[in-house]
Amino acid sequence: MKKRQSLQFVFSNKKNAKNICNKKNAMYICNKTIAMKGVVGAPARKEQFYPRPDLRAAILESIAAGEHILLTAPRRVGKTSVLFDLVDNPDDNIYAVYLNTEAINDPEVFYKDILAAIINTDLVERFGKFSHNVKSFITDWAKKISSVQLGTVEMRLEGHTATSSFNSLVKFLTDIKTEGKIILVMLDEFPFTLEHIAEKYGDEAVLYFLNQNRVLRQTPQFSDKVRFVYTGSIGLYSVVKRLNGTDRVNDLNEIRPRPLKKEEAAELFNRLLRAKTGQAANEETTSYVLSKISWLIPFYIQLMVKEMASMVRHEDCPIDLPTADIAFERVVANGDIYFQHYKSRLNKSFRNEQERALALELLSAVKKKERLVKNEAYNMAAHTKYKLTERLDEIIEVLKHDGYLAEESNTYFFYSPILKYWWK
Amino acid sequence: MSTRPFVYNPDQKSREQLIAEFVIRREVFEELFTEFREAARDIPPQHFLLAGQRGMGKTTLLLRLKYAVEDDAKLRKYLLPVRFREEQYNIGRLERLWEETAQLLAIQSTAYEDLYETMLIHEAEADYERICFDLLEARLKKKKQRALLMIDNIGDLFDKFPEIQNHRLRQLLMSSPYIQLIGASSRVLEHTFRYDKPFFEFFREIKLSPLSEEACHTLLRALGESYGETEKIEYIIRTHPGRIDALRQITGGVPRTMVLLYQIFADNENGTAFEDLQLLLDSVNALYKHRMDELKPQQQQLMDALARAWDAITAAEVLRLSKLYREGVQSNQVSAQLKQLADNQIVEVVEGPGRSKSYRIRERFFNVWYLMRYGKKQNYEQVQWLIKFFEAWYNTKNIKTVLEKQRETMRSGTYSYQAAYLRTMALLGNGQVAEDDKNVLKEETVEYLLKKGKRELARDIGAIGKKADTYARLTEGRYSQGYAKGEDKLTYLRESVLKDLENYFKEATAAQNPTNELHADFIFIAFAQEDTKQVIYWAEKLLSEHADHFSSDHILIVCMVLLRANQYNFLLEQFHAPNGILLQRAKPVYYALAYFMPDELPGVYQKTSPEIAEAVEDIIRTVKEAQAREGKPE
Repeated sequence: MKKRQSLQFVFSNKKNAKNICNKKNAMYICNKTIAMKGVVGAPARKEQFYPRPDLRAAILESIAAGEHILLTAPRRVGKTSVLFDLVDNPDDNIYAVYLNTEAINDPEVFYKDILAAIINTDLVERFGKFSHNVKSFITDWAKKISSVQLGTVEMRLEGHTATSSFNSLVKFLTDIKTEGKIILVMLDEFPFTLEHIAEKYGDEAVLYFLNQNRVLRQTPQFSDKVRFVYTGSIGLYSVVKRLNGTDRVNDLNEIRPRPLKKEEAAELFNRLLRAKTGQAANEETTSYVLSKISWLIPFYIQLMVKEMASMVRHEDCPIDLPTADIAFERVVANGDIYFQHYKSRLNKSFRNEQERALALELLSAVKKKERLVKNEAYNMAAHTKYKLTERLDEIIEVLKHDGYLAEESNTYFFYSPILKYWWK
Repeated sequence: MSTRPFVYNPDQKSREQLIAEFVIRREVFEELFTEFREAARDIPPQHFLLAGQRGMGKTTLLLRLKYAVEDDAKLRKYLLPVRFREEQYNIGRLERLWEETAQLLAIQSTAYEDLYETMLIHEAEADYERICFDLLEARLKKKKQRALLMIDNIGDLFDKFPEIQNHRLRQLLMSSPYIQLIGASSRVLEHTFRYDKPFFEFFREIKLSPLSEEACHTLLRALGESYGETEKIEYIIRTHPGRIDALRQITGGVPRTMVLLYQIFADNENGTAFEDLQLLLDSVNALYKHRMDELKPQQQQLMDALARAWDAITAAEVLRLSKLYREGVQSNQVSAQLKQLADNQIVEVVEGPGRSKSYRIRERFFNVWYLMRYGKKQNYEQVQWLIKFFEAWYNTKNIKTVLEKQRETMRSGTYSYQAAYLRTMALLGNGQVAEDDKNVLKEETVEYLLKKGKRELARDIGAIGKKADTYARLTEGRYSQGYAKGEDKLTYLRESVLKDLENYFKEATAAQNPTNELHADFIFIAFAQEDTKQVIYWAEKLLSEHADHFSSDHILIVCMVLLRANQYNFLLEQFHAPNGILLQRAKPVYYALAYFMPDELPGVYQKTSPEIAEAVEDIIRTVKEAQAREGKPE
């Protein structure tokens, strides 16, 4: 698993970015204040999207280096939004194609959908950077595919007998001349695909499927033309490990989107607040709100803004600490139900009583200290009543996988402020 | 169907009526409508989930939004509200959702009239769901429109769909600009808070919380206006804000329950609000009964205790009221069970000072339903919620006016018998109403109900009102007062009737339907004449033939006479008679009898339950004193 440094150079002016810096993928932040609308749940698109230049730059740099990417982060961090940003604000040389595969349980459908997504004429037009030749090629391919474009596309090339969709995709990628552009295939929620294929066809089928995906990544005839990005909210490695298939994905460069930095979070918070109320919060209030959220992902910031803005508009409340407190109470309302569920769920996640006890103690420690450093967790696991140091990583992995904890820089904290508030 | 303002089923209101009555939740309505209007058309929109208990206004809000979209000349060309029925028994898979959408669109617009049939052509294909959606999306795209799916009880759909189809739905909602979803749910959905579920934190959740004080004022003003009581409401808001708050507490701030209560008390004309109440209760009966049936037996008993308490009570009080201590259940076990009920959103925890906890049934209307269905009539359990409203809403002066109006309306003859029954019961249980007024109301209500042919209800009023009063007197040690009335009666009879006893008996026995009062008189007379045989004769006649109409006062006094006359065996026989009424109606006497008959009823006296202990002791003392006075052996 390779890791890369984030891009160091961020410019405030696009022209300067191109002229001053030789890096092809230098990014710029637009200084124009955009009236941002918060969007909850669905990926943030276009004006809704809070730019993540570091992350975008890291992705583009990795692509430029010829790598395929695994984007791993807990849910709601903003992985999908970042992918859509590549579609909505395309890099000149990258034709980004997004596909959510969480509901696919058939490899045939998987490859068909990829091909259908790539040859989508609307998307091609929107990209607008292919030459006429490339566009013609794609259009011709679209015509070759017989049968009505309904449901799953029938892959029957004109003049040929029916071929597997995998082979069709391979042929397409082999034959297309992209003239230096890269087709970036972004597959969202890929681990769910693996799980669903496993349910339907069994583990062997999944391993074979992973092999095929590796072939798509490593075939020399088109490896310079296509890149793959896989994302997953449930960990790809945990799914693949269970199948003893980690060697089939060890060529991926793992990039871990992090939550927002405090300054970014503050900026997003006030941008959204200003858009809704016409005013921003002072530094003290901003800092206070962020400390309550602790896991600084856009999702929770949006929830807080929504409640505070409602109080400002409808209840005439000022933007201050007491308002923040009440808003937070509203965000976490009904959270006792969450807590009951998550607490009882530990019984399923940990059949071993000792492991469960350690998990509970870790969560209590995180609650008490706000953040728990890795070596503190190790120390707890080493206690004579547990002696579970060798199992600690896996226990933590389960807690992360199931949405209890998040990790940043070897520090653990509650993923959800709602759960954190109610945990006892 | 009622055509009065503020009926309870928003689906049955006309568009105009619903819009006119839409006075609360306006901010959230405006916010949502603005979102619909301003949503970008080329990217997938925000999807919403309205969350709140039954009666909080989810369906009303959905309908209001639907009408608002339809009334907006510009928006309606683009956004097509597709409202699904409250229960979607016909939708168990995602393709059925698309089919239903197609059919509902066809009703709105001819542009979609062939869509469903087109889908069906592909019914046999393995990827039918994909085909359905692709056809739907293609048609919407062609028309440059977006379908706004408005789905109540959306959690039921998520429960029914296979997991992979929930993934699929999420994927489509995330990617298609042509579909927008606004769902509603009365329960907190695991689908939205479980990290491993597809819809984890997917929707923008709009919580419809209990009404604030200000919102209550708004609602009451609107209600006042529709009933021509604007000034009255303004007066109450201005001078008695505590009443509003009390109403809010009783109803849990649930708009539907508030409207219901208000209408019950404002609607003096013919009391049809009570009929609406019955209809409403009937409509939820299956659902609520199912909810109770699903619980474990101990949990059912806990729920029963909570329902009867109405107000929030501690785990210790729940244990006491449920009597589970008899099975060795401890308070901490009750707490654990209550936590589980809270987890399932049936019970809510009310945090008190110093981390103390009380519990009450979360959905207040469920509590109302339970009391109305299973509450004991004897001690006003059935109308506990109405009594609380009365006490909160009216002061002593007002309550008298209410009572007078009640009587007047009954005299008009057009009053709903259900209203008469329930309101009278609530008024009888109200501490602000004077005893004399209660007695008058009670009598007139009994008479009214009998006229309406509702003998059982009449009996309940007659018995419960009196029995409750009698028990109240018993528990307050006032039984001797009731007995004193009997003594007065005896004196009266001695002075008046006994002088001309022969004629009195002649007239009485010649009467077509001798009243039970008359029979009681005979017992007194016989007792006065120390004719034990006659005492037994008339008592037996009374208890076997006229039990239905025998008031509790009379029963108790007759029992007292029998005790004073040492007729323990006869009395015991009456208590043990199959289908006898004594055990139901004179329980304290039974335990008192056990005191006098320790061999025949061993250990029974010692098992007297606390709530009637005082009454039992009162009876024993009175009998012993009377026997001592009369020089008879104890």
